[in-house]
Amino acid sequence: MLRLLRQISLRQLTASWGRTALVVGGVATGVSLIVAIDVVKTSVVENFRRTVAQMAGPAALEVALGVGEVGFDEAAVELVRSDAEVVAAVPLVRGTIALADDPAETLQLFGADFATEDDLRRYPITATTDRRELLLAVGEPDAVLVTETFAREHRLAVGEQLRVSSPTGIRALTVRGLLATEGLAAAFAGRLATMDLPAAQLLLDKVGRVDQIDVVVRDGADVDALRRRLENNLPAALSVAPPAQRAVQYETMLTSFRALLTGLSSLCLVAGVFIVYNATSTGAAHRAWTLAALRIIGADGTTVLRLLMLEAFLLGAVGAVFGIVSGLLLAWLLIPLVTDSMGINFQLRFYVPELAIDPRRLLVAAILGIAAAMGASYFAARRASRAAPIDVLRSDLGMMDATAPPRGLVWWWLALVTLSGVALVMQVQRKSAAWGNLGSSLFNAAVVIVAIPIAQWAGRLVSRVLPALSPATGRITANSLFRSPVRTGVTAAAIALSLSVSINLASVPYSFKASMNSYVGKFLSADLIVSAVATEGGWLESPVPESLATGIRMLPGVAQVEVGRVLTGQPFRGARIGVFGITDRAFDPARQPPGWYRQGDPEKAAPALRAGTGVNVSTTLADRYDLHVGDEISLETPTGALKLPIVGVVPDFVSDHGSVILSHRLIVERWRERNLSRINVLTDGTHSLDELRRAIMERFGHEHRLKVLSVGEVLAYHDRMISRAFAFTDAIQLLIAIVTLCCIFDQLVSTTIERRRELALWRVVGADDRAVRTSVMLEAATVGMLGATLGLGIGLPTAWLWIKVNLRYLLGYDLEYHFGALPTAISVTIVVVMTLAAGSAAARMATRQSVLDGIRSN
Amino acid sequence: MVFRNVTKVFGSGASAVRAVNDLSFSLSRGEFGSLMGPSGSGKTTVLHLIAGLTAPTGGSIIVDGDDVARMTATDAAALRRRRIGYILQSFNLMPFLTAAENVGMPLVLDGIRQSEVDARVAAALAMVAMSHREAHLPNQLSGGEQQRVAVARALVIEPAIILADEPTGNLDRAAAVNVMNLLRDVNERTGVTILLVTHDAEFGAYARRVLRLVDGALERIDGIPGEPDRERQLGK
Repeated sequence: MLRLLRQISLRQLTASWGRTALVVGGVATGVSLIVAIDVVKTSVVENFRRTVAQMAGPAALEVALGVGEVGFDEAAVELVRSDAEVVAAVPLVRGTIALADDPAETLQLFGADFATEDDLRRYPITATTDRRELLLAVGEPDAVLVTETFAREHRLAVGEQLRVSSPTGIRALTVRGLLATEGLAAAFAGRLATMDLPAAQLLLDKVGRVDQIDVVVRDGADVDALRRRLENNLPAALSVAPPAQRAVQYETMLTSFRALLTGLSSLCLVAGVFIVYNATSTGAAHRAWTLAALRIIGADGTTVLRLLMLEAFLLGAVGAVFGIVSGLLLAWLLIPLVTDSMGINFQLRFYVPELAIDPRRLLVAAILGIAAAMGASYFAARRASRAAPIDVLRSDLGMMDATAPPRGLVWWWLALVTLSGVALVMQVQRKSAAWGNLGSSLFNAAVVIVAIPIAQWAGRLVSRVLPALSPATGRITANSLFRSPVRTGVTAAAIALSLSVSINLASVPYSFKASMNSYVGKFLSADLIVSAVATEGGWLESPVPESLATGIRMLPGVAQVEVGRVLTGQPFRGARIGVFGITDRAFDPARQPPGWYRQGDPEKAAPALRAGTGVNVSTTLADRYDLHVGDEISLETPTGALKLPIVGVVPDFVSDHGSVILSHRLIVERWRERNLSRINVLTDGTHSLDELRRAIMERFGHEHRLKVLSVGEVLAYHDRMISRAFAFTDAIQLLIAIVTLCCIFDQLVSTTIERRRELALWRVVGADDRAVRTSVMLEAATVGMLGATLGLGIGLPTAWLWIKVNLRYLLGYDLEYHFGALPTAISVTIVVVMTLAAGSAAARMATRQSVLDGIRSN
Repeated sequence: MVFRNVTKVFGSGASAVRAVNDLSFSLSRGEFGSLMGPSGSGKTTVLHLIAGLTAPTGGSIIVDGDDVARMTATDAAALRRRRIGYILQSFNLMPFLTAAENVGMPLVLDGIRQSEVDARVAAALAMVAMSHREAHLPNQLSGGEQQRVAVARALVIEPAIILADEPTGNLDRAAAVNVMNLLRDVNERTGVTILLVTHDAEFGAYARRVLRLVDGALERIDGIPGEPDRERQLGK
């Protein structure tokens, strides 16, 4: 077998290097995307775990409230310390600060008590500055320690000033020491800073509050018993848990996003398998003559099958190796896009300083790629091994693939679609993204199968239409196209899949943007919206002080201000939801767009919301936890449990896990949080928007890094954020489009080669180059139209399914479905251009072939 | 090789074609026979039946003691590897293999050790006077040379029977005569049985016995006078 491989396979595969490259490329595409997405997922999770573990230091338990946005009373620290089993209770505050001159550059600030050196030494942070210098930092309100990496990048030395933007405004800090970029500092890619606890509390406007207490226990202490005691003694809103459990909570948060990435990688594997199937089918048809000659001189069918499968194994292995290498490179390129996207989704900063590569998982990906190559090649290999050699040797090459489609394809299609429907129902019932991914994969596979009988059916129709359009070329073209409905159907399916994926991926951000436009433009309408330039990691801006709203209200031209505060990390039944507090006027029924309330009556809800005796919940939250108007919801706050009835269910995009919308007064009273996320400004008409904008910046711009935007500019801001969030899907879409183009090109060129004799004979009887070109282009155009029609027919309903069903469980947002006419038109245009380009190249090849060689060709 | 009451029908119903119609004939070991007849008389189908490339609708085909009609496709392939050499009109050499590699392919398919393959290939190429071109690709050889290589490929397995289907069809006259002389020479030197299909009377006469087919049936036999009429006996 090895000799046959060397003498037959190697030489033939080398001779048709283009098709070989297509097979290898198809496998490499699938494997690289699986590897890339797996490495990205693993790297994010691994870094998360490492960060949480390092942040925890030696702590056996952590006391926290949500993700630490608002903090809790520092009196809790003494309560914890008072327990006999506690060796140390280390209070921490955390927050994000940005460089005043470059708001995109942020630092994770940790405030810890520098006086308790012994406690701090437990953490994986190493100061490289002299200890005496560090001690000088104790008690200084502006002293900060930054990492060596950060200092080097920003040319900072000890003693120099660093201007930052914080919740309390722009502040000048003094670099008092440097930290080695290792351990915890490395986990944040050097974007870490520390201050003395009181100084950090002041800067982050958390005076009297802490975000976290790390609890170090005595050796041999009963940690579970300690945990129960602390839970009993501390306010109910605080969670007491081992650090690993917090890591699990964060990982759970990522589950849906990982499911989305898994779904994409499954789609890529389907595309890769499909491309390999296409290329090996065409390759087997072209090698049919050689294989038949082998059979004549004594090779049996089993030998031929084994040889072809061994080839598939080797090509799959080569493709897998390329796929792994390119996958790692792709992961490195995708990480910034994906972490950016996750940041926008989850309002947290994700740092991934290095890729987490697990050789075992790479091996699994390689095996998957090889198995896919062998599976995709099997049908072509089996066909080739069973073909009667004398029939093959007699046949025109173009007739070799003239196989009738297998019977029962429509039943197979129905079965797959039914299974896909079942998976969809399971997704809805179990609220499971995994079922959704399975359903999508099954549906895409069904597209390939149904394309073949559709091609057969279309063949009957087209066989009448084409000759009517062009008597000379139409008949010949129709015959070529539908001589093998399997091949035509598979090519059309390739186009349809590519188009369907494009429509789906384009519709999602389009619907997202349109939904946000409804949300921001209609529900939160104002003349100007004021917020910080810096963000917490995604679209949500860093908080600004309440005094800013008071000051803006006093400016001439301002009729009123409305405020809003978003807390994205509030604990609720083990998950993390958003709480959105807004000014009472926003609940005015006249401001609600028609149909805004999915449940409840805005007229009845408004008084309760204004009075703080009722709350709205988002459709996502209601869906996830089966909540309805009239149900009571309980929220943990620093001042105890807040229990209120639900008075309305409305759309909201604050959090992927769902959100609670309530009066801003409750945020102040119950969460003790006075900072604001956004300030909506309504004018009295005496000043233009530009004048008001200038006035705000002049009055407050030197204290805070602000942006003052019109509604249109806010919508544009959200549009940009959404585009960023989905940027990585553009890369995947482009890769699929390129590989599909190669597939279509190979198919059309192969068809031209197969028709060589037929076209030559046609030219002998008088067909000129124009007629030949027309025939080939007509074939390409017909296949393209068939594929485009199928793609639209599949893409539009699946886009609706993705947006209204799948994304609810993958990303957690309930979006309005908006048909993206422009992105769809662009996708269709690209498909048509791709097909015609491939057809044009094939047509050029057809007219360059020698007539005599064509007649003699076999 | 014995053909007894063999029928081959292609298709069914109104479009059925009887390519071979109750045909009986035999070839003794070492005999050189030819099948002649007009186009569509079933000559090539007879070769396909003997080689096990298609199954008869009825009758039996005994080659070297085995009934080919009852063989599985795997056994028929083994038969072609080991006992039946097949020469086709269009040479059917693999364009990417050298002459030597083409000749050795049946042995490679049979799993023969490479050293033995090399030795037998060298001997086969010497027999057809093509040793000096063993490293050439088919497109570097003339038509006659390619056909010689095809003959060597048939000989390398030390066959019981060589089937030659219009081996001179794609050759000019001189090359064709060369190939026919080679076949006769091989038959006389090695004693291998040869069944030749041709429509050329001159080349048909190279055979000791000529069987003429018309519409799949035996019309007459031209052979050495005085030989018993075996075919008619077989048919009974």
